[in-house]
Amino acid sequence: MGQRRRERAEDRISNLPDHLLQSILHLLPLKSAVRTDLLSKRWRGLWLNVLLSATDLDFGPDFAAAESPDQFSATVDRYLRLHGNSPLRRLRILFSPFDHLLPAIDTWVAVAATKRVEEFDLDLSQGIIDGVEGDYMDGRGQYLLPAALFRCESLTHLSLSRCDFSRPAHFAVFRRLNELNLCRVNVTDEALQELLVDCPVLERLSLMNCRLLGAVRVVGEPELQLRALALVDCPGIDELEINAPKLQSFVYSGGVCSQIDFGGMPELVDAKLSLVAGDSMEADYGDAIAQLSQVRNLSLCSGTLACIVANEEFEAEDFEVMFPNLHELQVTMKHISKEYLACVYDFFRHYPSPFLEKLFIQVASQRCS
Amino acid sequence: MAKMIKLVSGDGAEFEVEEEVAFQSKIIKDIVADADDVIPLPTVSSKVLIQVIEYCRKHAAVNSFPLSPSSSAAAAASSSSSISYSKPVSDPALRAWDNEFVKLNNSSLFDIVIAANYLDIEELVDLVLETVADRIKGKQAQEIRRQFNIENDFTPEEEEALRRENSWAFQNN
Repeated sequence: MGQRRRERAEDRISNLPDHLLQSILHLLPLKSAVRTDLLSKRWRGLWLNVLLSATDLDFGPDFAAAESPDQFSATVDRYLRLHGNSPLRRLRILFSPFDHLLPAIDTWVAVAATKRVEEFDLDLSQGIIDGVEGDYMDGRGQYLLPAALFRCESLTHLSLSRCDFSRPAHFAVFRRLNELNLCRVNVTDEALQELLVDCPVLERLSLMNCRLLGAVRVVGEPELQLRALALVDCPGIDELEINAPKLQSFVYSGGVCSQIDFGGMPELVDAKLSLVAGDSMEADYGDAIAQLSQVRNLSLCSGTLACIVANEEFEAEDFEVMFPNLHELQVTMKHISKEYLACVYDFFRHYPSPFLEKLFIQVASQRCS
Repeated sequence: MAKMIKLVSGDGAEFEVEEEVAFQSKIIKDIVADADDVIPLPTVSSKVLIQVIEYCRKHAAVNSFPLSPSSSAAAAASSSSSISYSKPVSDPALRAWDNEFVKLNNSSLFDIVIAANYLDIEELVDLVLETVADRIKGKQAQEIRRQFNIENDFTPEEEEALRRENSWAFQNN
């Protein structure tokens, strides 16, 4: 056979010893590993080892894109089945509670519990939300979590979105739970109290869009281990009492509250407050803010600032609460206005911050310091 | 005077290297322990051996000066042997050197990884495999085949069936 103009260069990668080829595949993200299935017969099925040895499975946006719900569900079923008895440390699923696929979701939760998963993120928040009411437009209810989840004592991180968190009567303590994120979950004030008791080593808690919360009391006996707390867009919250001796970070974003007690946060370092201004500015936040005077970093939106400055005591010229640790103040404004800037001025007049190093004023998406 | 080891490549060239450089290879360390300090490496060509020695020389130098702060963690992690398996390479200067070192065509990389595998130089094997993996990441099958000269021995029907099996993975990024 004569010389061809372009000789086929040698395929050296396919001739590598098996263990080296496997090592290469293990260095690939699952999506890239699966693509090697097609390369040639030599490569077919090699990626399965990557799946089997994966301790972290993320059925997230990569998976969900361009697949129908039934296809997605079938793929997750198949991959979990292929995963067999291999250990799994972290599992994330991004989906929506389709009525006919609820049993499938039950299976996935059961598998996660059986495999003693440590980090579980069940995000069923996919869907279109009505901008006005804030409800989903698909008419589906929250996904009722199976009892298996509440017996999963291996959990250290749990994130749930659009789930019904009603706990079974004989609920085992989440002994190792370190972080809990609940979004669009039907947790009530009482359930929250119980949770704080039932998660003795909980350090990070975030509650987003939990509509049933009204009077939030983050207090606990014995001493709460909580270090970070975030309450975001929970429209019903009207009362807030935080007594968490180890809390270092606190984020609150939501409506104006009529009663606030921030007295129990002696270790607080970072605070971020963002209030959607209501019709009435009756509530004044002067006292509440004064209770945060130990913070190092403070972030306020202009609505919050306005509430603070509405404090009656501000009338008194000599009203003053020192912020001895404040290093950084960040103020977010919709637009720069004299009124808002006057608020910033008033803030410093009554809350002197002798060690302030940075002042950020963020307007829309711009940032200037 | 540092103890010298003699390495003989497959095409008969001889290379004298310091013991600590040669000991980056676990195999060589074991052989020398049996009191043999001329080591024939019939499966490794001169060209590749030179490159491997260059790598070992660079990494031996870093490993033998544990007082430099960036590699002190590495030294602490390794045992008293002069071979360090600290992963990942923590020293940014060394990492930069490694990244330059692997700017080679695929064929050269495979030569090196096969030699490093034979000589049991774990860090070098890992480095090359990571480099190859980076050249595969994010690419569709056709592009990977082109890169590595892999012949597609599936029929179009077979390939289509495989695509459908895991269709999520074949969507474009």
